[in-house]
Amino acid sequence: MKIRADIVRMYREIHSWVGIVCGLFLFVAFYAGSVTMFERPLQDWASAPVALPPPVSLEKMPALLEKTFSEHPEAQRNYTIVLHPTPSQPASLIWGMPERMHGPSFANFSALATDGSLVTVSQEPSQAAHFINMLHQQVGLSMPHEAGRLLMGVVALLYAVALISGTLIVIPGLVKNLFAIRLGQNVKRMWLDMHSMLGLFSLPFHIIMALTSVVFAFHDEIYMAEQALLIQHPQAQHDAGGPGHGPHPHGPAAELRKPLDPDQILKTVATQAPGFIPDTLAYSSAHGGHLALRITGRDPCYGARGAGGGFAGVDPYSGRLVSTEYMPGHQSWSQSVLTSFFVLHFGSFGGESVQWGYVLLGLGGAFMFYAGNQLWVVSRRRRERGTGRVEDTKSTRILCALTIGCSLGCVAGISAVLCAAPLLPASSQTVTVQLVYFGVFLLCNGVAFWLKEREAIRILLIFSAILTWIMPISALVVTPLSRMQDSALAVDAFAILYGAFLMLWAVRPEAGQPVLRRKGFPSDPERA
Amino acid sequence: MTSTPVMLSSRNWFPKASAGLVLGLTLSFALMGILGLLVHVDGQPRAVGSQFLMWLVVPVWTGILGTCFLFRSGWRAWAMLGGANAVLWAIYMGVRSMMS
Repeated sequence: MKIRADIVRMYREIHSWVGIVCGLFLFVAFYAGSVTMFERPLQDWASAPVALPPPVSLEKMPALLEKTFSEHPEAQRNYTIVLHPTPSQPASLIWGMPERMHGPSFANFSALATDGSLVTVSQEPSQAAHFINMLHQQVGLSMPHEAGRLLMGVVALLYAVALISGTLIVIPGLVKNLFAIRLGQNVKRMWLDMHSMLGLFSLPFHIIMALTSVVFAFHDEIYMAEQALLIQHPQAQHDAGGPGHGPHPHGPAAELRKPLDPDQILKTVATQAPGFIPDTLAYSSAHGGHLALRITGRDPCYGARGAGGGFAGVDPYSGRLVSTEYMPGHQSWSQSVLTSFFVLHFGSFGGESVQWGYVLLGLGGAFMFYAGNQLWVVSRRRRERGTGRVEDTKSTRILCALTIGCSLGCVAGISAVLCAAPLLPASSQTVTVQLVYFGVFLLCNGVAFWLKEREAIRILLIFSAILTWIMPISALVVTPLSRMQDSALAVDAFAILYGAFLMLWAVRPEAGQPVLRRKGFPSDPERA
Repeated sequence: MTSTPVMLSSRNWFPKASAGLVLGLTLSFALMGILGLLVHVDGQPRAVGSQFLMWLVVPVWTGILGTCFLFRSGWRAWAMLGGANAVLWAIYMGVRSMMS
């Protein structure tokens, strides 16, 4: 396809400036996002074993509920039955979480001892995996949630512009360069080819990510505008119906009736929704003393709205499905189209192979931004050499150091958080996790500013590799090998492999990166 | 937009980009308003229709933001997008007054 040369040149300039502004944020977002694909396995991996009897089976659940409610009446307000307990949710009854949960929070875990007495443990689950998710959502900065959301939206808009401009640059030479990766002497050329090819082949993924991220950032504001434009009678606003808010059956004094036993509810739900695999039953009596039940779960044949699955509103007294708006496989056609937008962002469809695909696409994206930044530095440096300068200008040097420091600092920081996670105390983890991450991140940036590129990249890669290799060791300190779950062993194995990859990249000089000057290039000694 | 051969460059990016950012958003809001009135979406955030309309805004906005650089100048970008805004908002007001 032919595009006028001046348009291509204009978009090339726009692409490089937009890319340099948002590239580092996007690197962190993509890298942390890839790690977040394994939020649950990592959460389980990081959780130390709890001193609790084995989880209570579903048949004995009524006895456990009765004992818990008689000893802790406040538990009735808000409790969750976990059908598949894991190390991060070690009991089948959890209660006393805060009303609105954002991430893992302090809760009580109850089980029955062999003599039938109640054992309850209060603790805060590991915050590490959730922290990495927040890092992903706030493009790598620590700030109040609102501000982080808006900044993420701005970055996502720039990302969209970078995608459009990048595509327009590549189109004219598309057929000629499609599969051409010019290996060999010119490292810059090779990285540019990889950058364009990664961008082009994962373009659908990137379009989805850009659009959904802009929506996630600004949807509140857009809804506000929409209401202002479309609501004709403001008084009609309060009968907004949602799941669980609909008209309740006005039975005789709802709180006096006894809810069905959990296993009966599950049987009733199974007949109404055969493919649905329930995970948790969350009870809450927030709505005026009336008990509400929300069953979360998944259906392998359908994508789920959230990263962790979909949910259904169920009447706890009869087991009847009350709302199926967000229930996989039971949504209306239009709702499932809406759900698909979320599904495509979270990769919550198609099982593990799709998850791994998303991890690879995410890491490929992160690499693309890293390569893009390096290419920016290299071409700027060449232009400066063309005007007769021998050293880098200050801005080129700062940008070069930032590219190395932020990218590898994020890699090292996430590995550091994960290798500290199993060892952290059971309370006030959030602050500690933040300190660990940002401490390592700043340290890496310091190294990148202090040393020459070649040494900085090598040292930071070795540092990240070692941190990644410590992960299995720190997990072993708290969880003996015999008690480790398969998913935890998989995390360990992956950490060892990934550490080896980082180490290999650090020690092999020929896996060169374009910012590294070639041997024999006069590098100034006073840079260090 | 670029029928006459004017050399485009990225030098006047700011007026073009700001036009795309501001007027692109208002234009997509106008489009949301018109479509919402025509298909009788009442703006309740949980309703399926209003969710679709919310998703509609973002591709239109980012599309305009990405292509606004093709205008010949910043003035032209503001004028053309402003004109399109005026037309769409007039349609919105017209439809709204007809329906109420």
